[in-house]
Amino acid sequence: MIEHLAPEIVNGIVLGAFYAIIAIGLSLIMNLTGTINLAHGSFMTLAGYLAFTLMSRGSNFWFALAASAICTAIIGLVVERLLISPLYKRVPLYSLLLTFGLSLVFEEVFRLIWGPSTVPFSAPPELSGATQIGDVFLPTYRLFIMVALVVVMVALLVFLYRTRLGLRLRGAVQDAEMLAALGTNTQLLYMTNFGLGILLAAIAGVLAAGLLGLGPTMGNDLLMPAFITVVIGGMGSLAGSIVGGLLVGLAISITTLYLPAASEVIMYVLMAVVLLIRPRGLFGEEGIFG
Amino acid sequence: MMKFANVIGVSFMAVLLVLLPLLLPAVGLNISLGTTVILFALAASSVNVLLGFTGLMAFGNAAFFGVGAYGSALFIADVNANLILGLIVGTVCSTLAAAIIAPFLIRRRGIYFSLLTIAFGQVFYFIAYRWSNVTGGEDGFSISKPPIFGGSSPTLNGSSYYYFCLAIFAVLLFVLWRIMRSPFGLTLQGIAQNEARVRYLGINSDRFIFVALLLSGFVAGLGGALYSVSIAFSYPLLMDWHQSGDFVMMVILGGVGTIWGPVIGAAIYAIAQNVLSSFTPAWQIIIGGMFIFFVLVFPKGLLGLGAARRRREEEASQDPDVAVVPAGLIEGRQP
Amino acid sequence: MTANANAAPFLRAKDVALSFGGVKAVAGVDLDVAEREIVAIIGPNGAGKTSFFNALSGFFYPDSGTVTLRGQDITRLRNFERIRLGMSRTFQTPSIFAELTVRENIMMGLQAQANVAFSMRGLGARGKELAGRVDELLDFVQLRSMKERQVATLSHGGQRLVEIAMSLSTSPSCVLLDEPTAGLAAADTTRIMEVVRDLHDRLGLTVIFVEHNMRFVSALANSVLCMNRGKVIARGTPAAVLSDAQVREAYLGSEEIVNV
Repeated sequence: MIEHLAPEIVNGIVLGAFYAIIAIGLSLIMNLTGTINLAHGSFMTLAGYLAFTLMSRGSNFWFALAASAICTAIIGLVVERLLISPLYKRVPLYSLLLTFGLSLVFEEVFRLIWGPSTVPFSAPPELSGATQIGDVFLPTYRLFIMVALVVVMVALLVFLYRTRLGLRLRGAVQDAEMLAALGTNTQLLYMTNFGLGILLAAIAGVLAAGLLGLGPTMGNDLLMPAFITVVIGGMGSLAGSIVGGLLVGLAISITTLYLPAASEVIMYVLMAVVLLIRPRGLFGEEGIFG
Repeated sequence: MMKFANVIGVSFMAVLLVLLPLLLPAVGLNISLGTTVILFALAASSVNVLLGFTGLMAFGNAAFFGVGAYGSALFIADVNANLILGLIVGTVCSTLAAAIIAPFLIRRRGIYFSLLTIAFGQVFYFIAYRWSNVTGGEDGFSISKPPIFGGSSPTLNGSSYYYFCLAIFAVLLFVLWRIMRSPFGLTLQGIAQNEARVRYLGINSDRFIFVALLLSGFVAGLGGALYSVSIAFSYPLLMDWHQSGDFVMMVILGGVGTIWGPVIGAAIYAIAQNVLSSFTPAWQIIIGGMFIFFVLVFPKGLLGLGAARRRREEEASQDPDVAVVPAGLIEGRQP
Repeated sequence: MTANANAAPFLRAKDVALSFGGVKAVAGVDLDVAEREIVAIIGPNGAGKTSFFNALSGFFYPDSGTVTLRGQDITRLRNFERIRLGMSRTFQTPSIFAELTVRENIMMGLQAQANVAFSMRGLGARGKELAGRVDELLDFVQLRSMKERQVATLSHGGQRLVEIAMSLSTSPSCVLLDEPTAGLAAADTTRIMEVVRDLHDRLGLTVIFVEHNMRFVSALANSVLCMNRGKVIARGTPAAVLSDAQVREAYLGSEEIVNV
């Protein structure tokens, strides 16, 4: 029993960690600027393809991971300044639609450059194979992803809770108007915040490419579970995103084992149950967006 | 009591739509494109009921459209090849789908509402995608066009099906227009402009939003039911959030909150898609770029400029450093 | 209807408290209002007057304490349910439907009151009757000539009058007015004062209002409640409260009290 279940639990935790990282990025952007970033998945895919291109030119995995994540975040910043920031003063529907249009463009550009089907993206040799833990063999790459995502989350928490910029960012999420009144440059905060969300997405994107296979819709396929994670965890809550992500990941992987056809629907069941019990999500605060 | 300009506008649109089956072939396009325009316009109108009239950022209406499409197609394929019955079944299904998810949606506003519509809309997509022995899974399934009343009654094709759809569409558009001028419609407009005040007039706005969702589900589902018969096919991507986004974009292209806006938006979208996809496989870039351009440059759509009266001022503040979100979209701790 | 001296007061707030993120906006306020009384709530800015109003009218639920209307506990009743029990309110910045006409603004509450708001067809037979009520309410605030104007095009004072007429459209027995004269010119203030007086004299309503204009307060109120930092610091007749040392100190340096 355990030898069947253990890999699925590891799978679930890995998936959940992805959802959590993506959801945190989405949630940061949503809370501060009211933008539901439908292009979030595209940025993940973009980072994956950039890393793929670097690696196919001879770069090693680690350099490709770092370089593509940074490049993607910079592209994210350019997009935020040029396209999204002009919409901050309008109702959030417009930024939602803009990122929607953006995701259409991105997806098609990926198809044009890298082809419509998945490209071979393999994990580095030092991370392939399996690692024995107790009686169970687990894929090394999955264990690595688990560790990497935990490191990223800890780094994020340190940034948000221990640095001045992070504190200001959290303050801005609480009350952008008050912060503007205090003289903080809110536009700079919006930028940092968006860039941070995209950076998280980009790291997740490269890691996911080695696990799920890299195709034009890879990021978008991860986007919906991440939205559900945000709803389950409660908008604007980091803890909520982490717990929500793990719940969704475990629910999906365990259902995949027993009833594969229901593996997507299960997350909606989970969401409906959570919303019935706690309409604002598990850790939902009474934030400005409810 | 209609204004003269409105009479001209309505007459122009009516003549254009009636003559469309003659005009389209003249420029090398198929009549079925006209049918698509009409049915997308129905779906866009269903978005407009929520977005334009009630001020709710709905982003999941493809789910209702798709449930209507599957409902009628499955009924026609498996139960009874009868167009009218199929349409009724499809529409009942989509209205029921709206009734099932509405309780989760009505307590939320602003972007949380959008988020929930995106999320809940997608559940129907996955059901269609995964329940493959019934729905044909990813590939969908095709049907043959059913006789209008079943049995040996005639089957509508080409331009006769176009006029059938146009007649239904005209009736629905008139009904929506009437509803918007009714006490119910006035209350919806109140909710769009100032929901707190609506509640302080003793009105339970949640119940109005519930009914608006049912109405939206009904209109979208009827469009979907007619659509799957039109293309004799039903497939999961009809319910995907991308399709929802396209419907919202049609409303924005034409003009939010106007009766004709969704029609114009649907026409622009469907024709652009049809023409572009015959020129280049990368048409999605152009469509996406068009969306971005409109959002940035013509946020009120083509008709929107003249319809400003119905819509609240979009600008929350002249000062971009302050007030990110307009007051109406912020959810307070209101009981 | 005559007030029964032994019965519970018309509106009673008992030990109402409301805080926001650790800040106690209202810290245990009691208020008894008799039927057809006019009560003014005064106090310096940030005293918690509007928060108290919000707790009374169900804009926010209080953290503790109770609110009763005619002896019925309404503390946890949702805002629209209170309206149906006869409570009605206005806001500091007029809460109106700016893009609708004056008539439509008034009509919305009337049709809800007449149980026809869900009708997806016209008003039918009720149409004439409701149109008559619109005219009556607009006559009351003397805005009938503005009936077809878009509310956004009205002056600030005009918008306040529309809001008062709207709050009357639900046939209330008690109206809560949040700073009815804020930001108004002298002429508009006088007009509003007359309307508020009429609410009591002609319509027989109970009126509770938050106000900074002390001329307004002494001219209209039967009794005054002064709040500071979330607490009641004085209550009684206008003359008594306005000459109270604590009240004067709370207002120290502010011009309103100098006028008295």
